[in-house]
Amino acid sequence: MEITISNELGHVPVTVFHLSGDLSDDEPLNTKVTSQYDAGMQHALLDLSSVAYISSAGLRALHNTFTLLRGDGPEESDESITKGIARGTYTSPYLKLYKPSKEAKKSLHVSGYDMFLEIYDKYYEAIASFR
Amino acid sequence: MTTESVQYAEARLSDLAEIRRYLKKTSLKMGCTTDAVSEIVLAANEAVTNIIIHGYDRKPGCVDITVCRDGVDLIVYLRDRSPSFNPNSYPPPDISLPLELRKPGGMGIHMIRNFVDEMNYHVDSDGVNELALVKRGAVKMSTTETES
Repeated sequence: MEITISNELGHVPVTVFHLSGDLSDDEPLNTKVTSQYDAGMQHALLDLSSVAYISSAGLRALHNTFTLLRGDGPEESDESITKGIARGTYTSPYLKLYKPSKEAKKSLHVSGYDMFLEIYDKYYEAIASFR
Repeated sequence: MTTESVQYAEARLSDLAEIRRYLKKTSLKMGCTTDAVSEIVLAANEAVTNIIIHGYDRKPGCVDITVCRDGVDLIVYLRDRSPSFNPNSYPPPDISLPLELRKPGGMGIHMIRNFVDEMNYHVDSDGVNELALVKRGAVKMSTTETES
């Protein structure tokens, strides 16, 4: 898995992680995300356009990224998120996904991750969606 | 019936990419649809990952992989000598819960259940675990017709 990082400025600064290969190990993405978070990252877009597969280990990396960026306000409490996911009204304002392949979408769907992580097929729409 | 096998005397997590490539190439060669191939590869990848991580405690261990086409069905047999564990005994995760509230682990087995039609497990008299991942209707109809 190769990961390169770029920075975009929409309504807010967005750190974009461009992933290439199979997302089948959590460690490489966790390391890069933690490093960027320590440097002040608040909003992350994962570019999955070159990712063929996402395994359960890869899903753990998405989980860790979501957890790291999750806010501590009342709207981000366990209770609010649980209700929001059940109603279909909660999606993470901090972590979004760009252009997962058909195969990657299958993993996101069966795991339920597509219930709270927004998926965009247009890059600049994804960047502009962070506020 | 068409069968192909590969044996790993000391399978490691670093072999998973090669195993995925082998499964993809072999199942495509056997006439599976691209949709079926991606689901078989994902399911088998999770199963082999579980064998190495949980069965062999991340140490190298033997894993035999057999891909078998039976009519329009594809079956991937995984055999190993790790302590026995029946994945069918593992409860499914509640994916409607937020991540922090979910029971850790089990997502791999959940993915296998969703990507194949059957997950049959048994241990033989020599203590070899066998997990059969069955994908019904995986083979393109035209390929079957050509063969018959």
